[in-house]
Amino acid sequence: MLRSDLPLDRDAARVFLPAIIGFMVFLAALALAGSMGLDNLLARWRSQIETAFTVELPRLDGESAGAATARRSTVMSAIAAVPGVESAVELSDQEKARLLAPWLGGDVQALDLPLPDLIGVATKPGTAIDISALAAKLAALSPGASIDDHGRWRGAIAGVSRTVRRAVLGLLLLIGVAAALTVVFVSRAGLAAHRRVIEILHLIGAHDGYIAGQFQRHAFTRGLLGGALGAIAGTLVFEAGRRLLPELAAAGFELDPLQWAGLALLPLAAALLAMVTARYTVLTALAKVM
Amino acid sequence: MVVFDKVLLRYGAGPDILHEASFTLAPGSFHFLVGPSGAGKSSLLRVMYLALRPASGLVSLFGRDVGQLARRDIAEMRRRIGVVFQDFRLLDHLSALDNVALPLRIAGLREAEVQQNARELLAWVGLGDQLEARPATLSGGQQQRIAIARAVIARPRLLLADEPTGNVDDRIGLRLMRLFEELNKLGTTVVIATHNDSLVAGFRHPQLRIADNHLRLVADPFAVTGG
Repeated sequence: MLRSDLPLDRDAARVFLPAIIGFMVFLAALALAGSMGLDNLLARWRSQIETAFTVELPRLDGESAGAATARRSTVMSAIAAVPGVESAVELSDQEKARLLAPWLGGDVQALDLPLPDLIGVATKPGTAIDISALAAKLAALSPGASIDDHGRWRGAIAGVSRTVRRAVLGLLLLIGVAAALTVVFVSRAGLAAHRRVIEILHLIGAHDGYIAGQFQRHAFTRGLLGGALGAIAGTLVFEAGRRLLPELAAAGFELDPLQWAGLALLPLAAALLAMVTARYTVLTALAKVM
Repeated sequence: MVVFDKVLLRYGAGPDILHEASFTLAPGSFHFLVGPSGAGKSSLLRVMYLALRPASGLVSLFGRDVGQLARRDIAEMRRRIGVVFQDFRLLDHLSALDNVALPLRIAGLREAEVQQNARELLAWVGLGDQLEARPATLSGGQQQRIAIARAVIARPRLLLADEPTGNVDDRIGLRLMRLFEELNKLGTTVVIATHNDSLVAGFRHPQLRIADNHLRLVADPFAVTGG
């Protein structure tokens, strides 16, 4: 227990300060864990999209089955020859039907639609393939051939990721400001409540830094205590949420060790914020009295 | 050590407490500050321990004009001044030991040294068995002795005491006066405000006398009346 000349541990702030800081850190931990989890999930999706594209070959009117097979084979060879391509697989009619089922219903094959041939191509991570050049090359081999590299989805995912990050940053900023204002209020209340003691300390020769030091130590220890409880509560709620939504967790809504370490630093950050705010508040207020 | 030059004391727009007080206290001197109750003795001491600014005039302590001191310098200067307040001003939530230890802790001494000095001094003023007692549980005289111990523990260069023997019996009063004289012999300049005539008569020290808002320094009060 730290020795203090000021009876700050007897104030109502003894409970109030850690409770408020704890709640703030709880909110911050939830927001941060949620955004990092979502970011990881989106990153996994993005990487799945980035390492795959689909080649679409329209059926040609009047083409014989043999000629069509030869054409598809030529296209497959051309795709396989591209550096960075890991695999190219032609989708079966059943697989195509499954993809279209959400739009056309369960029995797509019964509709006897002239579905184009689809080739799912997987690329090695980190390789850049010139999609437009490949599309032109394939179109020369198979009239009307086109490539869907999921660019629209990539943009949408990046947009969501950016928006979530900004929103959480704004939220953390607001939480920080609210926590700092609480510490300002508590410190000022403490100054008013202990005016007599502070006056005596001044008369004995204590400089402002000595008195501010007692307030900042109190704010740091109380902030750390409240922050730790808040972070633990936030983590528990985050994990409970993951357990309640296992499909989300399976899709990549999780934190890596570095992100857990970041979360663990939240109480320390809150305690430091409380400490600096208390010191600044007390020094500013004391400078105004004799 | 202490120089007052045409110092005027007044609270706000109220009447003058002291007109143009001018005097010099040499380093290592011992003075009684005497005068009737309400004459302004405590106010004069407040100026000396930098809790009150004079309405006009110059106050110099330790060779420095106190009106020109920066805030941080005021704290440094107060550490060289020991004060026994008339109302003691002890911190009620701290033990006798921690109250006495305060000036040493503020000065940044090692805790072991702080503890040893505070225990020794409390024993010297007869409170060696009350180290952990809170002021509220002690008598007025015991509280006064704690206040005196706190004022002298850091060996101040200037000791200001406002009625320091007002709440103790003669035997303890005499013991405390001997403590002040010991400090004085070690070089501390001492000013004791009192209206206790028998205390003043028992010690041949020069006097600062306040009467009718005027202050005068009487270097040898017993030569005047001695006959």
